[in-house]
Amino acid sequence: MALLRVENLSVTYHSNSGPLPVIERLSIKMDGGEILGIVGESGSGKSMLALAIMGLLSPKMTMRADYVNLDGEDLMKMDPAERSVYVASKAAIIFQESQSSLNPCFTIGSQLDETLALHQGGSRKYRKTRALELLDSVGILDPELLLKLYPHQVSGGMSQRAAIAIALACKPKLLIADEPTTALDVTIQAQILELLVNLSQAEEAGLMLITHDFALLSENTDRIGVIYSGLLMEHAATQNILKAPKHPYTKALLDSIPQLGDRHKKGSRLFALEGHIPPMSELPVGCRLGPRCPKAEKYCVKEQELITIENHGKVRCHLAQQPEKNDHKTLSGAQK
Amino acid sequence: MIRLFVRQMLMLLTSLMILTFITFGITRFFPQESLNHISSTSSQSNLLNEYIFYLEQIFNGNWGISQAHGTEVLDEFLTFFPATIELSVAALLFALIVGVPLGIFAAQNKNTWQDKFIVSTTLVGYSMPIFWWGMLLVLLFSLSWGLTPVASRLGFEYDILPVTGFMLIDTLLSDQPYAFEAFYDALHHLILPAIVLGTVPLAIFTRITRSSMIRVLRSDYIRTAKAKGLSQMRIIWVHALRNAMLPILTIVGLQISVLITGTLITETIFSWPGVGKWLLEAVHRRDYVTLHAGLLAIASIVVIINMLVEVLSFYANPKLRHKR
Ligand SMILES: Nc1ncnc2c1ncn2[C@@H]1O[C@H](COP(=O)(O)OP(=O)(O)OP(=O)(O)O)[C@@H](O)[C@H]1O
Ligand code: SF4
Ligand SMILES: [Mg+2]
Repeated sequence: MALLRVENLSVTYHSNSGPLPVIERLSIKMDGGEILGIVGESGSGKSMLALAIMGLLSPKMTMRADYVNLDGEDLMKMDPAERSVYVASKAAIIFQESQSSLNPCFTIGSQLDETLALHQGGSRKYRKTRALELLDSVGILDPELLLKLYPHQVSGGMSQRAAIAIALACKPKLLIADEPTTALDVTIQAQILELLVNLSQAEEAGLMLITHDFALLSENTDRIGVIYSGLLMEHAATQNILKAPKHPYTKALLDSIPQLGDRHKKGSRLFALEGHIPPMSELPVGCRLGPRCPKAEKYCVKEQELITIENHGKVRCHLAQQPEKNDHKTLSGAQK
Repeated sequence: MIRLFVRQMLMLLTSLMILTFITFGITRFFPQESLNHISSTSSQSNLLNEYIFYLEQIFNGNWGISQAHGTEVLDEFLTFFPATIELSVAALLFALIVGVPLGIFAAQNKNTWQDKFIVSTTLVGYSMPIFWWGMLLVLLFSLSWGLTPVASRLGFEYDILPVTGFMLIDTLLSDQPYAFEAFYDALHHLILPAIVLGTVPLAIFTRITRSSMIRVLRSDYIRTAKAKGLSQMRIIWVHALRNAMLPILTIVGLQISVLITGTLITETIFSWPGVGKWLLEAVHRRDYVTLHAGLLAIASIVVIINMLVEVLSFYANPKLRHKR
């Protein structure tokens, strides 16, 4: 049974000038122990997807979905209080800014103990042992000391480890990491990433790894979902995507990974596509990527649907169905 | 930590020094007969010597003899002071106990009509002339509806021995058979003056709590607390309030001086036998000795309390406490 099944999730932002789509009809599936990478440019809606699953959207955002099935229960059928308790017992989330995601007025120990008390219970002494174990498992050298420190007293890497320990304290079956390493320097990035991957394997928990950096996903994930402007553009196994990306956007993201030695040739390229992600209020007609897509053609003025490609996955581009290159005569495949 | 303590002590001493400079300066304009107790009689009287003599007298408790009553001013002050403290503390508690939850409620319901109602009401409360407001409440609650007593701290039928000077405590300490009745009566007398005195601070606390809380509720750690599955109660009253309280504490410190000055008016309206009423009467009777001592005492107390609040807010903030 799947750990997480999200079907047709839409998130709407209710701005002063009317509702705007943040995420549209997005469906994903994750199994226990699986690592799913979610990738996309800044502003594509990755964080909103994570917050929507966790039920943490701000009041100005609303979500709809056919179902959001987490470990066998449909979250959409629960009332908010029930849902937050259920989700907290099954899933945990780690944010980019670990420092600010911990409460500055309480010690790391008390914030860890609070979660342990809520989800595992037991005596104070037992919880203390568990807390020390958890901190040890996230690679903290002096757990006793860390328990007594306040978040601002530790480094970014250290507080991110503490945040991971707190997230693990509820024994989550699903761990969502929203750009967990973006705020850290490179050597620590790799350590934290490795830690997350190892922990999710050890606990057989699903890991949703959200990032705008494709390079982080290629080695660590089982499957990848590519999001652009609130739409799932491509969703397939990691090796398929790496070997033969079908969507022009995925290709562009892959192209923007700096290769070894690349820097000398072209200078560090940031992103292969010109322009910016469109603001929610000014979405282009037809394919979302249209204005920026190097392969765009007449047909792209039609709204694109996700199509299933044999032996690959799902792609939101009519070109994906064509056997080779752009053949202007065989457009029928892109029909709904 | 020691550095903070030393710094605060130095600040306190400086403030008190400046304060005594000012009061010492003022006494130069007082009629001579009111200054006998603090004027140096030594032959070589330069300004510095006189100032030092002045300080000595003040510190030794030689505050002079009241011109109006012929009693020791220090003794008078000590009898009136607890009544003022009792009233101020009650007003402060009223303002906090009502204002903080009200501010939290408004923050949680930001931009709803309830929030807008609270915000606009606090604006009215903030600019309320308390003399007029006090009169209005007396007129309604005491005179029209007979709900609360009009004046003083206790009904005449009770005879309570002053021990601490705090009526709520003294009534309970009393071994009279009506001790409890007297306690309720004292409470009854306290309610309206406390509300009148607490109105402006209430408005300020509500607004500060609201804005502080709105900022805190947007923060990442509140989102984390929600993700942990904590109850709404715990998120608001533990995680959010603990942070929101830091700016509130600073404002509380500032409001204490407002409260003390407010007692001047409130005590007069309610014939509350406190320092405020005492000083106002001293003004009427041109009792310079009392006025001088009272002002100096009140101002010093405000300075000291402000320092205490500052130290307290320092300790309440882990970011400051564990610097470096
Ligand atoms: N509080 C908010 N109010 C209004 N719009 C918002 C808010 N938060 C996010 N958005 C919008 O929602 C869209 C998706 O944002 P989201 O934070 O999910 O992007 P992201 O993919 O996580 O980007 P990043 O890599 O910068 O974290 C963006 O267009 C953003 O402008
Ligand atoms: S549908 Fe057209 S514009 Fe959209 S990604 Fe495919 S080729 Fe590009
Ligand atoms: Mg994000």
